[in-house]
Amino acid sequence: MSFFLFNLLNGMQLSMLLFLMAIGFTITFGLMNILNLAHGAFYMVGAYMGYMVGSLTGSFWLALLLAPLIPMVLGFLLQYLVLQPLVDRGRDIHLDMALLTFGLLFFVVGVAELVSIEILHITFASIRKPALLAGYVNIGLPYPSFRLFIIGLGIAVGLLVWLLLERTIIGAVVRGGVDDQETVRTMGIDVHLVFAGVFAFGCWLAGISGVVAGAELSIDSSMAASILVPTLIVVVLGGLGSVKGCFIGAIVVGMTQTLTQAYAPAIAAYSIYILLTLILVVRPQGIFGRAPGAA
Amino acid sequence: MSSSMTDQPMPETASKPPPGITGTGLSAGAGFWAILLPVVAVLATVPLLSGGYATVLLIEVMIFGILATGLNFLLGHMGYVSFCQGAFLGCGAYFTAVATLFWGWPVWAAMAAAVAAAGLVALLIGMFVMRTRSIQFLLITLAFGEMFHTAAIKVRATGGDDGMRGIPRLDLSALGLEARDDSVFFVVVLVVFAAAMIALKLLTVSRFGRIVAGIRESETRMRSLGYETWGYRVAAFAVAGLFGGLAGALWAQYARFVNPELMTWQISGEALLMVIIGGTRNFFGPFLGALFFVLAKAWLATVTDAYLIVFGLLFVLVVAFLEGGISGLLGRFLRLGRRQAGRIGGEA
Amino acid sequence: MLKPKSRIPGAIAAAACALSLMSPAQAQDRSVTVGLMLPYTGVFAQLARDLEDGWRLALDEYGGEVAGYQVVLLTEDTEGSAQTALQKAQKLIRSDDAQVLAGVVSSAAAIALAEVAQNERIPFVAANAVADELTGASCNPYVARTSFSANALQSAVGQYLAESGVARVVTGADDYSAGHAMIEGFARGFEGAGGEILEQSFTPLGQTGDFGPLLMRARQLGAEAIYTFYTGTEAVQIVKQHAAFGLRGDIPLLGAVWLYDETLWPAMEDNMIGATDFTVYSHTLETPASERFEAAFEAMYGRLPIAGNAMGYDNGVAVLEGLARAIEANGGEIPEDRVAVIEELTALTLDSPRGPLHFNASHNAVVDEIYVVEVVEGENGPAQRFLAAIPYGQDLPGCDME
Repeated sequence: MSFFLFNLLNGMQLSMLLFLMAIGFTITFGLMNILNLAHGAFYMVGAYMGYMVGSLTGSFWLALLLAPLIPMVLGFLLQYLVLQPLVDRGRDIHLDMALLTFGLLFFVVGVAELVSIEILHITFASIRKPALLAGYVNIGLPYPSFRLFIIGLGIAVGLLVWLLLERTIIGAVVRGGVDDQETVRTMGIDVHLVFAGVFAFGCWLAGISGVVAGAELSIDSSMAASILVPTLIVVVLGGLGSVKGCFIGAIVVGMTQTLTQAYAPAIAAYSIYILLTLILVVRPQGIFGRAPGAA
Repeated sequence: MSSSMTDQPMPETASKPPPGITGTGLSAGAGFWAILLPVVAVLATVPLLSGGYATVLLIEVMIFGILATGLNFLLGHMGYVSFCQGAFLGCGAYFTAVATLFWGWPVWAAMAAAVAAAGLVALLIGMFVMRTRSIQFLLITLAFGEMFHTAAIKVRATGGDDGMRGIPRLDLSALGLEARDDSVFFVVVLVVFAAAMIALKLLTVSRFGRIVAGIRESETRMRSLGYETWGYRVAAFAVAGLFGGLAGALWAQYARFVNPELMTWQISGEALLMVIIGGTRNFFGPFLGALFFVLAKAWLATVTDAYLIVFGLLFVLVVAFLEGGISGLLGRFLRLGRRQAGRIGGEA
Repeated sequence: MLKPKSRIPGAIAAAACALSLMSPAQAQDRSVTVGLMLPYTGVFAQLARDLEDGWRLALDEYGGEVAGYQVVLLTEDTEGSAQTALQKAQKLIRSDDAQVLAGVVSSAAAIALAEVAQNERIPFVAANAVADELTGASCNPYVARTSFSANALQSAVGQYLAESGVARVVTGADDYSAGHAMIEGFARGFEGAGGEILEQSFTPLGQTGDFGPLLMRARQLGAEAIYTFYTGTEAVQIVKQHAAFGLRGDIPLLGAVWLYDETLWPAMEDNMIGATDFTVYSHTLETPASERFEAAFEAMYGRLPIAGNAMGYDNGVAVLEGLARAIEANGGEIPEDRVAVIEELTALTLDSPRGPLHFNASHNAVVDEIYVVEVVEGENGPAQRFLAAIPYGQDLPGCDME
């Protein structure tokens, strides 16, 4: 296998990892206009929960199954009990909610630091990969099986989300609920529950990406803040609120990062910012974003 | 909101400034001086009365006060949330450091140039980022700020991640004073702070400022009135950058050390925190927020190691329940007091 | 309305209270305050605790006092930030009457404090920060360092690797000043002893960790080893990915001090077993000083010491001994100009668990040797096995002490 093909595969893996990290963020914004800056916190909680489930049960699959439920529930409660009531009281859904979730991010990181050092007595952790995926496959060069799993998982999640939103009644209800709450309510649907459910879904996805990252990368208190910039570049490039955009944006960012690192290392650190500037000049709303003026 | 908007171009003929920075009776005209003068007077007594620690803390408060009030020109006055104020702080600080340490400029010249440089950088970046609005603007400023941070870390000539030290302070030998003495430097910062507050206030109530406030009210209306709003928005961004740079130039001298940390989104977030906690609707809100932030952080550190937890929670609570921040709260008490004294209170 | 008996004592008391809050506390008995600043929150929280544990052992050995003065040890959290370190230093100096500052892990914080030390004329003894500049361009009479400098460490390791038969390597580090400095130090030693660096790979800082390209490059170029500088989060990631790419048997992953640090082992899932590590201290060292330290540490804490404990211990001993001698030389009183503390401590030769330790003209600690160990599967989990002692390297020039 040539080095170039290897880099393509690697770029795809990184892209899918970025997609998994960013899709939850995109959903809450795209469907509900809530900029959840605490997204990284749910990601981190998913990772730590995955570590605990993984250590207790010895099973990665159980960790993947159970751990994301915690951020999901927390997200549901946050939206239903805190964010929605505030929006109903007239707080600005864009600015105020963004800043509130930003404060929440600090809070959760502080709690994670406290818990990990005082209770778990570790500062760095990792989730053990399942035996099936712990090794490598030989495709000309040894390539880690888990990375292939990430590629598959990313595509699967992308399909799942697209199907749910575009092809089911749920997506229609949510989109309707954002545009016209009253009408949806008259149809007998509790809009607030639906919103909370969507937010929870976004947090569940964040949790999934946390477990995956916990296995492929590492777990520590800095992870919540560290995904903020890569995630937001993906969503800005792809277009805020667009699932297709998130997928394509992730591929663009992941490929750029990998290919520049392989072939043009001197500019690798700046490459994503150069991309960002280009998009701002050519198409500020992102690849699949709504055109300006259609606020 | 006035309904006379439809006929006349509002900023030219309005008899009172448009809603935005007013609202608590603490802001326009006499109100401004009624606050600034006592604040400056009280601050001026600090180096005389107290030990060094209070002096040093209040220098930080004033520097962040400039940073936050400059940011509020974008946030409270124009309604745009910028997540890169730290980058301008860093630009001003680094330029001051480089001009004095590498080029041997006198400090006053380095400061002036640093402010201009930060403003210029903000102007250039503004031309790009002002193609976006609202949430997209927030995210893009965050990304641009990180770009500056990355550059600062990489460039070894300016010390990279380790930063640079040994930055000199303003040369006051002509006055027979040594700015190395923190009490003397305090007075320097106080003078600059007062001047900056006056300058920002003038900008706020000027025609330019009123147009910017109009943009916050409704940009489409301003455009329909014939204003090229993109240009005004870029200029407002440059104002925030200018004062961010000024804060940076002061910081470089205060700490005599600069490093890339100044440009992180965490510092930009702290600037936002100060503005929100203090209150965006009042001109002195951000300064109050800076005061609260610096003092609370110093005090909290003596009580607990879990600063992030308490601060995060505080931020959440303030955003959730204290609309208008501390200054809004104070304003309501003051208005309550005035009504009880028999006078019919100010603007709604 | 009754007038209170006399308001004056109350007023005076109130004023005194207010003033005492603002001015530095006066020493009641004879006590001296040391400010120990460490990153208690953040990813180096464990290292901060390790350093403090070592420091407190030193304090305990001195009986909590030096030359008749009781030692008050105040710990402050730098949060890994230079700005916070500055603020805490101001508090320690102006509000807590600290006489000596110590500690600090982050190099930026150390450089910032070197500035404070010089301006406030207060001694600062760095416990961990390894930037060459601290005892290079930023050196000054009030600053000393008890750990080591990047160049000395890396060039020693580089020279050893080349001399032990490793001829061709690929290097990896993050693309920032410290990363470049570390690799340059390594290159001085490695290439100086005849080794060949096939390629220097630098990964962008702050982006999602993917070391695949670096690892594959090593394989493609036929490197005998991959030499890296990665710490914390990224050290864990590259070790895991190195194993995942099937390179563990083929191309060893190497790095000094930080890559296979003991605090990272829980996250590395046994992938560090069999790896060669270079460290400044291991409890497997069988010298009298090390055995004594190990016994004392185990008695106090119930566990075996690691490198961070030894460095904290050395920092404590240096500060306390320096203070003791400066006080004695000044007739039993704390000297007015505490540069004497630095002068005394840098004249010492310490019987450190790391080996005999003295200070060079730039106030940097110099040891004779550093140690090569192998990480093995022990009875109670992963442990170190002592392999060899190798000569320590040289500091870079650049210090112009006034």
